[in-house]
Amino acid sequence: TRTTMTDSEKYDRQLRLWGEDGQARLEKAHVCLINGCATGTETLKNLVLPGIGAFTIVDDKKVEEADLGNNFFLDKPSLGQSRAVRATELLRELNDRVKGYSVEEDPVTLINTKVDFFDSFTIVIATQLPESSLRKLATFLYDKNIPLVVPRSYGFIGSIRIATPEHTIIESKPDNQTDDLRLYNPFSELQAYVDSIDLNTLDSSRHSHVPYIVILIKILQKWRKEHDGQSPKTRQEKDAFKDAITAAQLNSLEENFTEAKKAAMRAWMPPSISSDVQAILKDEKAVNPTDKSDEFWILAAALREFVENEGKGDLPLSGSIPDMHSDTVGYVTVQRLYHEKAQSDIAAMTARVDGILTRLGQSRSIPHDTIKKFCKNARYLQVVRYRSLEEEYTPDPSRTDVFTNHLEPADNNVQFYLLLRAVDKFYATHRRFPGYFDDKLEMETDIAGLRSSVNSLLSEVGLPTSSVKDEPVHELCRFGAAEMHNIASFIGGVASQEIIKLVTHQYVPFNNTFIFNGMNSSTTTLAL
Amino acid sequence: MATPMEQGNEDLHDKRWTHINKVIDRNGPLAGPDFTPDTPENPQIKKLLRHEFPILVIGAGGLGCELLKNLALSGFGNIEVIDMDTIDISNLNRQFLFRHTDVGKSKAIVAAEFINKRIPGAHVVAHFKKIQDFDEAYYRKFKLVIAGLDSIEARRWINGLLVSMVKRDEDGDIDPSTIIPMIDGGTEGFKGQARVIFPRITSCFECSLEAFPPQLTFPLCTIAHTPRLPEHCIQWASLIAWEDKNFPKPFPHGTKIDTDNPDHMTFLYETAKKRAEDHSINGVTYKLTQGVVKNIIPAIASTNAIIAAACCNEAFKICTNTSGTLNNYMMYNGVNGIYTYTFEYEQKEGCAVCGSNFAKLDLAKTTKLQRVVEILTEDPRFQLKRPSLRCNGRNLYMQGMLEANTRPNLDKTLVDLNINDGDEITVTDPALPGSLYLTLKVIYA
Repeated sequence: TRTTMTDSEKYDRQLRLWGEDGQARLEKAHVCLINGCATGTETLKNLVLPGIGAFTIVDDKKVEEADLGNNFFLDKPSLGQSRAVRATELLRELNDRVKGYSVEEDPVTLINTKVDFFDSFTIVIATQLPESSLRKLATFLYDKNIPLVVPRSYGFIGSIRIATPEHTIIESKPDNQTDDLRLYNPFSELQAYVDSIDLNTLDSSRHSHVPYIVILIKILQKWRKEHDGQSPKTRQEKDAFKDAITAAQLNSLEENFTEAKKAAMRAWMPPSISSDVQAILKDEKAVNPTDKSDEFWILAAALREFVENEGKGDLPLSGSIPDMHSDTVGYVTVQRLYHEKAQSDIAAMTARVDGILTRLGQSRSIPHDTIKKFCKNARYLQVVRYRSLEEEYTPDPSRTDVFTNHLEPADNNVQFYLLLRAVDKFYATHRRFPGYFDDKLEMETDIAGLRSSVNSLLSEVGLPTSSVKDEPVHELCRFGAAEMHNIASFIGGVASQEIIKLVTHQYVPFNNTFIFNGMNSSTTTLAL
Repeated sequence: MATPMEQGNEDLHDKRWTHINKVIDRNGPLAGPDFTPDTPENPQIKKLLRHEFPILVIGAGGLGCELLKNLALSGFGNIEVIDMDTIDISNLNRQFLFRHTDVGKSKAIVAAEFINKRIPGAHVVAHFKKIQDFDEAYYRKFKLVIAGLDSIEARRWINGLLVSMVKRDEDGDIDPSTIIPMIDGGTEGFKGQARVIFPRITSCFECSLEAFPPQLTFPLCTIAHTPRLPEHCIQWASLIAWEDKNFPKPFPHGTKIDTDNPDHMTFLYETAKKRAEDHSINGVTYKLTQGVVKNIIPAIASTNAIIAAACCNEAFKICTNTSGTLNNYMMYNGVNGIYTYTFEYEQKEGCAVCGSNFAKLDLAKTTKLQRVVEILTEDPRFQLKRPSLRCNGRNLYMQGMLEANTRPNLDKTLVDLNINDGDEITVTDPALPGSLYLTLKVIYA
């Protein structure tokens, strides 16, 4: 194995989530954090611990007293020193496998004068950037297909934005996966095995250990013979189908028949391909792969061909079956049939992949393990496409209802997204955040100033000024850009998790804006 | 040289608390009810936070490390932590207060040392003990308890204790000064939950017991006669081969399985593998063996960070009243995007701990007492450990000294034991600490 003995012990609990493949991708990744603030270092903490390859912190600030009260990766001896250097040192202590670098430069200047500094990173995490710099950086990274993650903590509110043109996922690993049993259209080898069993001639012990897969295929076969080739469709027919199972049951102790009744729906439901996967198959990139296509789209193109040919409308068989009441021999026999059919589907897919690559004049090949993984997870493929920050920040009257629906309930969280945008507008004008200083008079004018920034933003996006009430405006000024550790840590936790998803290409990251309301401990995700 | 009091007061105005001071020193329309911000002359909240709000953290593991860091950086100046475990290498991917050189040492002690060094003034005091080693008098001194536990049993124990510590005055009204809130966090892979419990006011942990059903083992007949999965072979090794005195093993018969003993684990792995091979079953690996026998739950730093932060955010708000609080349960699932569901978990009416502690049992007249004991231990509603049962002033089945005497009753029917329709059985159990008990009303079918 790739990881050393101590690594696989240390990483055991996380390998059970993303496996060696995921770990390998993590260890190849190099992330860049802009500004070593609490939100940033909390994000990095959760990437260093599981073994990200490397990180770089870009920050020209010196450590101040206020940093010691919210940032775990700065300590008293760090006062007056480079925040980038000290935070990097204290983060590196968490995992000696991880490389850490510090760049003592002003991120804003770097973005303005040498933005291609950022093109060597796997992911860029941007914190505390003024809007104009953030947009400049975002445009550069979007063009380079480097994901940008923007975590933020502001008083009791937190937010995260993710942006990248396209993120493909083979192993989305959804919570509610169903088994790929093909009871409706058994493949020929499975059908042959089912035909070889005559339930009526089995002794009672073997009868009560026939796997329910066999039972359901037989009952369905009999049903179709008696119903002109049709499968159960109406409520009554489905109930009658279940009765037919009961009729074949010798007694109520036969667990396999009980399981068959519970799983009956799997028999009468015709196979279907999810709308997400259908969209992938119909996508221009799958229809017309080019020599620039990445692996995912070559595989998708092969999948499209497979479905239209060998698959006869179906995806490759995933190959695994759930446990079910059965004797060992019966179960293992059935299990082997599914396994072998899956292997033969993988072989057909492999031929298609090779065919496509040859037609494109490509000498590269796609690893067998990747093709295998693609086939096994074909039902749950995902492609996530993110709108760029430029698109988000360019007012679009046709998209106003994205907001209006969310703004309905009085305690909605979208108002805080709007307030944070307004806060940035305020900053662009006043070069400081509203309510930043402890001056009562300034607070009064800042509340009015933020109200005016909010109204201007609302008008830009086509919303009435009543969309954001006065109380939250006042509250945001109360916060005065405070970065409290608990909020920073919550946001750092969420951001790091999404970064792990982006790097490992497993599980599904949110699209595209996440808001945390630390006042009532609720969250909202929306695609802006 | 400043006196401790002067040092303490200086600390109140320490510039490092600039960020949290913004919400402590300023009022706002969304602050907590009746919130009064601090003034320089009257730093009430800061004093409370730093000197007058003892807070107890239970667990110094995945959640515990995060909880200690967060509480220290929230300004709490009086923190204690209890954990009975020592540090293992598999902890190091998320329990960030520990290093390779700490393996084998006490989690609580190492964690406290680290925090106290990194964040002066946190004053974390460590206890390398079980929570059951402390009594009511100890727990009474805390204003808040935060649990970062990995065991249902421990959660029930502390929950039961805190609820039973709430006293009523002469008029029967709850004395609010005896309420110690508990914040409970739990994580598993990409999922977790954070909840706030005000004993006798909100739902308690026991109210939601059914949501945490007992661990799955496979049916014995599958394990013994018709194995199909590698997991079945592994449980055969741990439940059957291990217990069988005729099955050769390099340990004396009767040795308890120590899942941290590599020799025990190797034996289980090899035994499982042989059984699997005999049945043409693939998939037994050492890793799977560990997973099944130890009931390993996947764990990562990010989920622990999220849940711990939510918990400590609530602790900060409860103490300072700077904003409203979570009412009262947040569920979190990070598998597909980020999904949270925040809702008010209602008190369960028959809750054994904070409710009427009453349940009805519908039984056939031929039911034996043994069956009632089984229900009490197996049913997700109760999940009791070693229940003692009394009815109509008589002992039915008692643990401890009277067990041998009352054991014959297990084989008798309830009718034989003179239990009539509508009679109430009183049940006590180690899972219900202190004076808590459960009342079961018998209804004959």
